[in-house]
Amino acid sequence: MSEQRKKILLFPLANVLGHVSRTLALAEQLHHAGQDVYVAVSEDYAHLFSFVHSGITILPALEMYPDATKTFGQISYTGATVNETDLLVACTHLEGDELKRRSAQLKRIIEHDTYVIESVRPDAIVIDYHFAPLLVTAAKGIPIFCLSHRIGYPTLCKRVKGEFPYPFNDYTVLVPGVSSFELTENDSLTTPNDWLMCGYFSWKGWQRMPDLPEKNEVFLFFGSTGCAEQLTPWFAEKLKSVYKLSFQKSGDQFLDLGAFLRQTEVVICHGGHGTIMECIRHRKPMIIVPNNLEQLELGRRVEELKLGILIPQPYDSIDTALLNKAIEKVRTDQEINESLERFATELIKTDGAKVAAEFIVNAVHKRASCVTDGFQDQLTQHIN
Amino acid sequence: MDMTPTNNFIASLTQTPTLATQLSNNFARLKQTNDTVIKYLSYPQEISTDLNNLSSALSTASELLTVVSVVPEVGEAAAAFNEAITAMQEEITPAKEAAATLAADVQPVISALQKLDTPLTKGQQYASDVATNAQTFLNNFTTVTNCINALPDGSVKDTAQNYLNQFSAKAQPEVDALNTGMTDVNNAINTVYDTINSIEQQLSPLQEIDSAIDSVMSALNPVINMMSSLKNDLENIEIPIPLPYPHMVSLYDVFKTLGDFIDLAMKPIQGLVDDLVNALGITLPSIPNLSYLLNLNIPMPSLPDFDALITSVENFFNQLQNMLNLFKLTCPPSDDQTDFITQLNKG
Repeated sequence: MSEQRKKILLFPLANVLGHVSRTLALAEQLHHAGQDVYVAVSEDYAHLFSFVHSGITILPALEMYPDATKTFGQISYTGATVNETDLLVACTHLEGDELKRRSAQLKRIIEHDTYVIESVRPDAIVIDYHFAPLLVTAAKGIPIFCLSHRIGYPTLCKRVKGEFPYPFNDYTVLVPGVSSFELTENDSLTTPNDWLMCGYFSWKGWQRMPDLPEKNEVFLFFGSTGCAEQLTPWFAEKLKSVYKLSFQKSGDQFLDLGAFLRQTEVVICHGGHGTIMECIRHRKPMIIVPNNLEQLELGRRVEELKLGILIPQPYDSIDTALLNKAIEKVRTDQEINESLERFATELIKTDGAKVAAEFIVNAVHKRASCVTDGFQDQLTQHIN
Repeated sequence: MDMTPTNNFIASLTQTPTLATQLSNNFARLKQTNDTVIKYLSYPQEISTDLNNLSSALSTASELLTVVSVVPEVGEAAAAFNEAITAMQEEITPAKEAAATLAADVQPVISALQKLDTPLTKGQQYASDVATNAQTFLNNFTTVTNCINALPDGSVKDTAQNYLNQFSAKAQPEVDALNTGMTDVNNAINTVYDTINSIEQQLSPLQEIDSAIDSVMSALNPVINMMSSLKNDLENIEIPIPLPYPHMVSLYDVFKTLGDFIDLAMKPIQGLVDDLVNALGITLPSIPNLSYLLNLNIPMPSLPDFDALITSVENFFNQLQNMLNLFKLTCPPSDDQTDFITQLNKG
């Protein structure tokens, strides 16, 4: 690109691995496109920074408390059912002391983000569930792009509450996914730029990690929001006598997911959006044991599209025989294999991060009207 | 012949229609005044109710003010208003108690007055009948007496005059008793009338106080309504705040806890806040003479037993009437009566 280099500042939700991972994927593509790229990220996953391309500037940032992100929307089962409406209302309302604690932290985050934005003076900002820049006065007038999958928390809110959660109602959202997965039959895009289906974001940094497991039959992976510390040993104990397993080691969330997937046949996972995309890309059927409402929503979609099986019940109530049956089913089911093949073919067609990077660069250079106003004015409209 | 008994009787009986008419009028006056008196006597209860309502409204206003003052603009504008309602609450608290005490004191009187209508109507009618009957008899008796006195001297005149004197002497105590009874009842009614008239005058200023309370309520209610609307909005309107995912936070909690985001919270309520800030600038009307209520000491009248009084007049009159019915003398004698002697012998 011969045009002047632009400064792009990215803010991921820094204590959830999926958000950090796809932000870094986009950052590297933006850097590859010749832009000056800054990623403001807290120390939660500082080990990853050494695998980030050296041309990208990592800036220290503040993030909301990890327990606030990891506990959001946790499922509680009433018998065999989940009351999504009640759970959604409960998880989006905070009691006094917790509200005070988080609002104090949000204030500090905003102050720090203000400092970062004023220091970098970016031409564009990209946020991935780190929404504080929307509330930063210094960001007014700067185009702000938003990374978000559509299926998951947004569609859950849309179904239960009738509208997408702020700030996804009217804004340009770069979706790290494909229409066939993100959009349901009843779904439609009113404005093309509202939700731009970019394709999956795959961060090359994972491939720089020197970790390759032996061939195995079942891979246990619960990411950073799937309660891996409880679920991994529980499933390992139940399955080790029947299947050869691979899994993330205790406290180790950093692994080349692609490499592990290539070495296995079936994945038992929490159903995070990034994990599902990787499984599809590697044509690996999934058994999803969700920990939160978003993962439940995604798990339903996986089952609906015949990409795997959803087990919507507390992990410690899962019967071993049922589990084994599910594993055998996804290993051998022709429909699932065909569906995986079809979706994988679509997913690998495009590099989502590259598509998003090109869109951002073009938009910033053209100062396209659909994004130049940023989100803040529309935030006001949303509130009104 | 000495006609003193007859003359005294006529003099006494002459007073009877006058006294009875006075009594009838007095009953009518008391009856007509009764509704007005009850209205005045009801003022303490009305004021007590209105002061209680005002006190509740002031408490509500104070509670609402505590909530809506979380909005800084409102909090700043509310200081003077808050002082005003606090001062007014302090001022009306003793008045409220005094009004309640007074209302309790006058209630038995009101109840008694509300029952007076029937006896007063009866008394008015009865006294009127007494006046008519007494006057009729008096006219006849005076005519007969004058006629007999004009007869030529002789035994017939003497006998007739003697009859008149004897009849008069017999009837004199009865007419005296009736006149005295009616005088007593008149005096009793006058005493009651004077007393309730005095109460009416003392309670009259309460009308002005009650009107002033109404004025305060009229000024206070719109402000309360606005504060109530704002409180409702503060508690029920929620805006999304990223903590880190979008959490729905009530405007109240935003103002209370998330001070840095009040600009966001102000958007949905700016108009209402502006209106309320203007409304809080009003000066509440004062309630003049509220201290009058504190110093009001009304001796409650003990109402006489009007039924008993009327019955006593009735008894006196019946006794007199029995006596009067015995008088059959006509003068000059009618055609079917041969002469006075025959009439007197019959009598």
